[in-house]
Amino acid sequence: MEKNIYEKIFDISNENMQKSGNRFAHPKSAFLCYAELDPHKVDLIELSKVEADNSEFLDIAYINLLNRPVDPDAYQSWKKHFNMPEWQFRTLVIQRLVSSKEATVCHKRIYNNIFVRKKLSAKKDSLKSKAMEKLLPVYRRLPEKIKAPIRKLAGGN
Amino acid sequence: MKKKLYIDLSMIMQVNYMTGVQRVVQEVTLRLLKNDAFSVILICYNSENENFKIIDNNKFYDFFANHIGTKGQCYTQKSLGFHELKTGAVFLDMDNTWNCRLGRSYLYPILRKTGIQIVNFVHDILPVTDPQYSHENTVMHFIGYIGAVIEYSSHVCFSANADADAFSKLCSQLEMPMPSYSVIPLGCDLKVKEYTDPETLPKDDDGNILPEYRHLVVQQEVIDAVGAGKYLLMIGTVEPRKNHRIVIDALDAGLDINVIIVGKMGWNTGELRKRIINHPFYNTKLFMLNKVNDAGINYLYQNAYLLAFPTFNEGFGLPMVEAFQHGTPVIASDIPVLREVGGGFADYFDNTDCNALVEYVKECQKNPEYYNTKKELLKKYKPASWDDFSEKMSVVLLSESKEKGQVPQVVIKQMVVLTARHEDIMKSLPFIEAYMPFIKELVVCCPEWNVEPFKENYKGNLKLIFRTDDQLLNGRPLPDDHQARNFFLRCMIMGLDILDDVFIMTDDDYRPMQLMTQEVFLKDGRYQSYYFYDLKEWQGTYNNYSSFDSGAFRTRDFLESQGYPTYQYSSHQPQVIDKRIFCEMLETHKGIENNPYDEWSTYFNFGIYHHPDLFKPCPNVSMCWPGKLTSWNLYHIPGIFLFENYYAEMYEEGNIFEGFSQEYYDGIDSENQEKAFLFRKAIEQQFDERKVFDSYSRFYFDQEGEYPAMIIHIDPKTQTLELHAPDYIQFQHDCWTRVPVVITEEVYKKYVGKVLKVSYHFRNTLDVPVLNSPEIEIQTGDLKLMLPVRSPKTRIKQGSMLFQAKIKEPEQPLAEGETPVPNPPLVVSAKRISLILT
Repeated sequence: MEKNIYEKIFDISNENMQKSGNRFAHPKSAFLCYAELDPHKVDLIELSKVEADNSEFLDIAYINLLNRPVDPDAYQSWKKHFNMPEWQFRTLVIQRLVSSKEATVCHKRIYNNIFVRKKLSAKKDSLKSKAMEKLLPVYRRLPEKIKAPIRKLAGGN
Repeated sequence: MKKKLYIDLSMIMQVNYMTGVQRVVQEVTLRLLKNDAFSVILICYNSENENFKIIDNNKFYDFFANHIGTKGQCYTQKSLGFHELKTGAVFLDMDNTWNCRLGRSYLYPILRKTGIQIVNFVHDILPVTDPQYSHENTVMHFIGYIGAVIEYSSHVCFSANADADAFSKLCSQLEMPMPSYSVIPLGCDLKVKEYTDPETLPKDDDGNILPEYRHLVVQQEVIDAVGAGKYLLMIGTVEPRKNHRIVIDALDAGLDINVIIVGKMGWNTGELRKRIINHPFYNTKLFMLNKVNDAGINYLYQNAYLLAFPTFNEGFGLPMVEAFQHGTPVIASDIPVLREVGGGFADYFDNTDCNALVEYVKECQKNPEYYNTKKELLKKYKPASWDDFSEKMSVVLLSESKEKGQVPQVVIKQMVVLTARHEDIMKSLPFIEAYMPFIKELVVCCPEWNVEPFKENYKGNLKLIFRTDDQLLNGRPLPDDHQARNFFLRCMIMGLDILDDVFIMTDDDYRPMQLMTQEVFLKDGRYQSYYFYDLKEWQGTYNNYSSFDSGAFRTRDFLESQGYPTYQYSSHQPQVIDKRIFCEMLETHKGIENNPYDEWSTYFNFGIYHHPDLFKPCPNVSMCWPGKLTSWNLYHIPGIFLFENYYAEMYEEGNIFEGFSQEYYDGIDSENQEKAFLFRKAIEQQFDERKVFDSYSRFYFDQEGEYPAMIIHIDPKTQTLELHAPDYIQFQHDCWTRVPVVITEEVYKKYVGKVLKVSYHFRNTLDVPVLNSPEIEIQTGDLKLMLPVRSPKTRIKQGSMLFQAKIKEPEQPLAEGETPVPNPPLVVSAKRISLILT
């Protein structure tokens, strides 16, 4: 595939960096991620599918969700998870970053979140379903004459 | 007429320091605000609302020129969406905006789509050429910035030829054309003046000088450092590129003069700072000053023996010219950009050799005549002023501003139609004759067998000119695909010598609905270009992909590959075409006519990109596009309906226009108004229904931190079909709402050759079904779609929605008399969602 302009600029910068006897600490994918970044939203399904190894993915996830590359301290603490299977590592990173306070401050709109379940709603839901579980057997035992107006009241046919 | 100019001040409004870049932004902005040729709008990125805040011009001027007020007071309550900048205006980007969260690789394509000219001031490209001297995060941001400048900028300004050369070299390495450019040396007329006696300045009750006057007083620490003896001055942000290390090395190697370092501490300077603070000469011969005000800077320049500028690389070297202006000799690095800016006024040394610096200073002190000759020479130095600089910038900006249209006055009299059904255009022509009286001539491109019946049956007043398909094709084969055929034929039409340069292109079923002038198509010197969508957001006609949709997707890919804007102009209404620009497109993209592109979107986006001065994108003014409102979510509600996209079925029994006349008669105007009213009501209802879902989506985001969507995916752990859905969902009663459904590629990969069907079922609080949808087959390959969901009519407020996805074997066609074989689903995944109805 033909390289885009940002990839070519990275290659030139990288070459100049190496000529000076230095190396970039972050992978190429982190550099290119900035050029393709939507500053306001992140689609977690797309993010979870980027072609990258676990170390590269970490940077990409940080940039997408927190608008910055991973810092050295955080990198060290993530390093111990690098041997995890890819999907497990990605799920973990996304879950942690999405739930972090820093992500809240970043005002990023999150789309297609199949990774983080929200406890609050789950709690509400389970309360509701518990109530229904208790009421339904009572309802079922009622005679049809009483059932019909209740159904109507509840909006049924 | 004043030229509209947007200046992005996102960075200068954010930071509390004033480096060379911020000084350029400030000086130019202050002068442009006073320039009568421009209507300046100062803007600043607002990440929370995803738009630009507008800054009050007077308050900005007061704060930055007169130190009155605060930065916070400069903001107005007004804001501007990224798409709302005025076509043809100039967007001036001078600040170090690569650090702005609103990346230029994101912003510039949006600006170009609306016909904005982008003018950049590129101070240097050091993060690319010398990345070792920049923080890695800066390099990361800079790549997106400089790439976007090269791709989208209309004009780039540099402060030195060396910068333009480096930029040009980068463009050629990238095999990209160098944008048009100017070299404008920076101004440097610092106000050299007598210092204000602190006793004369207004004070508060505690005897402290009022904040707005403090910049006029030289700080005590500056006076103390200057008073310590003859000194070598270094000014600028302390960072590795500035090479402060060499001066400390020189001090250790016997440099016989004090050193004063002035500037904020930048990146990667921890070691240097330690070295300075722990230096045996610290605060006796070696001084480090931060936060020096303007008066202090002046004082330091005026009293310095020499300015040392050992930098490894620069965009311009502002401290050097500021020193010249104060009559202070300069010893600078021997690098091209400083040679260019400093010429014979400065002396140069090898910036890696500290002994060279020691020797130079020794020589100056030993040989006062030489030093005094240098000082004398500097009296002849005439710096470029900020007024000169701003004047040159305004010349560039005026030449780039294409706000005023440039289409020469033309009379539009010709309409061109492609048709294979002369009956349809015959029915539309009375509308055209009555409501578009400026049209005098109709060019009809049609199959040969259509010509005679057309001539025989037409009784109107238009002059008819026929060109048959064979004449157009001139032996070339006609593509089979509908979209490809349309595009190909319209491209072929451009070769007709009977065409006017500017004409109206139409289809046989586009009917005007009220009297109009040619201003609908050409106003204030600009072609009015009517779009109805953005191709980037186009998801196709619901459950009925046609050649139109695949053409739209291909057109989107083509436009994106060229960096062109992506509005969708197939608005199903007549549009104005400039033949010369259409031909320019054919010439620029040779062979384009052989592709199944959307002819309207290709032409207009090409035109707007290359001639933003001649086009104005406008929301469409066509009614009945789409004919079925469930076909797609409308992008906007047209402000007015000037044309009807005629569908006979809309007049059939039970449909929206039942009982209305389908043919023109004198006095049909009132019927047209009534139809417009009915159609508007229908689309407004769709928007109202969407509002309920949109407001729920925002609420859900606020509560849960994510936007709601149904997601059909394969669980990576269990490898089974999973359905993710929001915990609760809200609809308006009895309406169609489009709900986002996302299907991951893995689903198709895992179930190759199978069929994916979704369905939804509403139940009341007692779990009694109140509405069941049919099973809706998802087109293979769809990854994102907006599924139309019909909400129940009942008055229930709450209940549940069961969303279901099934994978099935494809249905086999039945032979006559054959009984259908049951086709049970292979996998089912369902999700119960709490339902709220309003």
